[in-house]
Amino acid sequence: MFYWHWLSDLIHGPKTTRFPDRPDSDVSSHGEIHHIEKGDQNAGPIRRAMAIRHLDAGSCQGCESELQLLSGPDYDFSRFGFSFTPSPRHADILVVTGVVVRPMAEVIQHVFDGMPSPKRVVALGQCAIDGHVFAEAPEVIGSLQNIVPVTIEISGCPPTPGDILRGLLASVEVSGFEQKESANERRVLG
Amino acid sequence: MIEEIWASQDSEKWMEHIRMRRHDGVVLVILTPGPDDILWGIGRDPLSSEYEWWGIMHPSQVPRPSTMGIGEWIHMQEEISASHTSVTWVPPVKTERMVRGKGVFSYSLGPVHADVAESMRYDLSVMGDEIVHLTLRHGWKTRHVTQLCRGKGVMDALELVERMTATSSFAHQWAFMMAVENAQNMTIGRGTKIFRSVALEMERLSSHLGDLAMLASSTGLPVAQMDYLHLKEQILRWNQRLFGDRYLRGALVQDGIQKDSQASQEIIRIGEEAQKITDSLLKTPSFLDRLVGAGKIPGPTVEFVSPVGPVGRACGLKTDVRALWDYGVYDEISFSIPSSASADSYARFLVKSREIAASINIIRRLLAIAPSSTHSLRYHPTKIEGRGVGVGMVEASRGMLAYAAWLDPSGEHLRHVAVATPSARNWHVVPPAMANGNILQDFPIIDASFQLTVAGWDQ
Repeated sequence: MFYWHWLSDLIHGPKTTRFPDRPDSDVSSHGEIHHIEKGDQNAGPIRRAMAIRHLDAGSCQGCESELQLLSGPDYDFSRFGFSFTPSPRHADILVVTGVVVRPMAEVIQHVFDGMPSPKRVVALGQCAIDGHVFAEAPEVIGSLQNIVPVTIEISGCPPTPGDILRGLLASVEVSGFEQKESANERRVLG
Repeated sequence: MIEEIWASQDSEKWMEHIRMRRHDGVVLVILTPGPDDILWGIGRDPLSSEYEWWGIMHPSQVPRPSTMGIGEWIHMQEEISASHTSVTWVPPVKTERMVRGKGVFSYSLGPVHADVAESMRYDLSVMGDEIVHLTLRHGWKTRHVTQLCRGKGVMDALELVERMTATSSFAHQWAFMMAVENAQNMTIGRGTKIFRSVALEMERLSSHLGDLAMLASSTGLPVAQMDYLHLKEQILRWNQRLFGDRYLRGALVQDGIQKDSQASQEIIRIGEEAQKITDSLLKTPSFLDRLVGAGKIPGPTVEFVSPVGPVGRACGLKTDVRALWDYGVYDEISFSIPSSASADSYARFLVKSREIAASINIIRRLLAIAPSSTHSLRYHPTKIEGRGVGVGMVEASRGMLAYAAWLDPSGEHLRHVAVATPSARNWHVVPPAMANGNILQDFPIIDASFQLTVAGWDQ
């Protein structure tokens, strides 16, 4: 039965890496983090709990694989207050992975509009930043910045979970975008 | 290489011949409109070392393979229909099964899903709790990878194909390179073969551990999910140390590993840990109750689509490229090919968990004799004599992955590339398996038991 396993896990202590508070040689860094837009300074900071809405705009599923590991025991992003949310209505951060292809552009805009203010947008991986190797492909829009304002860019192909965690923490420090009531919000809220 | 080319008026004869070869047990691999206006079908007999090429020149009207009972090529048939207007299929439109009636509710999921998932839409029709029909709508994230490869140098194209699907990045590198080497009539050394086999098995480990974590998560068992995720992370870190990248990007070019004395011992330990988690799950009734009998693939679907990889082996089809056609050093080592005949989610769980043990066993034997990385792989193109076309096929973590590459006369650039991914084939068994007496609550579990990639379908 699994309860015994659970108990032994309690005895053996956490598997979580000490990163990013302390250096960890196992968490190799691939990507850089760039602040793009400062957002609206009047928008209040959100510090306690950050709900993340993930959106795949055309990825190879590598960034998804790394994102999934954030909820795993090695990185455990919930210790910093992060969680994934199924609804954009509850989301504070929109994390977009993959190269932005035309069929997904409208979907990204729709999800962004559906999120309450203040909000942040993270372009995860080189593809979302500038299209990377797929930039010349037909139907590729290129940069996520062409669709929605971007708060933080995390480069890498794919960035390691450590980089993603650092990027998410950096995005919390930045004031979010204050968005006026959108047409979508008007329609939904009546 | 056997080539059979008919004139355009013989399209029915062409299709009938392919159908008969399939009936004889030939594995259908790729259907693609190649350069020079030839529609190619490529297959391989399990007993033969050569590929069979069935070409038809300037086809005006071709019978749809799916109407002839050939389901392996549905994806390519659809793609060719959309992109190559010169090929006219008979009948022109695929009739979709519709479910209508009083009391039928439609649930649309996607393209954006809960949690971390790829973009695709599931249109579920339910009657009460029971799923009566599922339509998958894909094509939201097409990146046109093979189209981008055309005209590029071989090494530039390698950077593109390794980004087709991250969890089988190395399989894509190897299958593509094998196609190029096949076109060039190049032979690779034993050391390179050992290195590539080790890399491929490491990739299978991380992919399968991730799949099992998702399956544990879907059944509401976070302890098992976390343990599997921890082991996956361990394997990814070993990938970083041995091959220089967590997802083995650019590993093929290195042509050798970074030696680490601890590696073999640690990877065996990871395998033992994975076995412990699996054993615990096998003793957990709440897990087994959700899996046994759920998402059973109907027999006619198995026959029609011939799913590959763990999904196929869980329905009793023992198609494993490693065993059927030797391309690595697999003929020198004995390894088990787990299979099951029950075709349900439980069978897929069992096959994947046993494959982890099999992969560990292969790595244990090969890691010690794998060559160190001393120089990077260089591609020396030679002038092409003949048509300059080759096929490469490997057993990726999700099943048979094949590439066909046409080189230009100099041998440096690619004229055309075609790919058949296991996901593109296997996704077609998901709707019939889902609408097979399952209820809506089974949906995430059945979906997780397949764990196919959308990136490999949309390409």
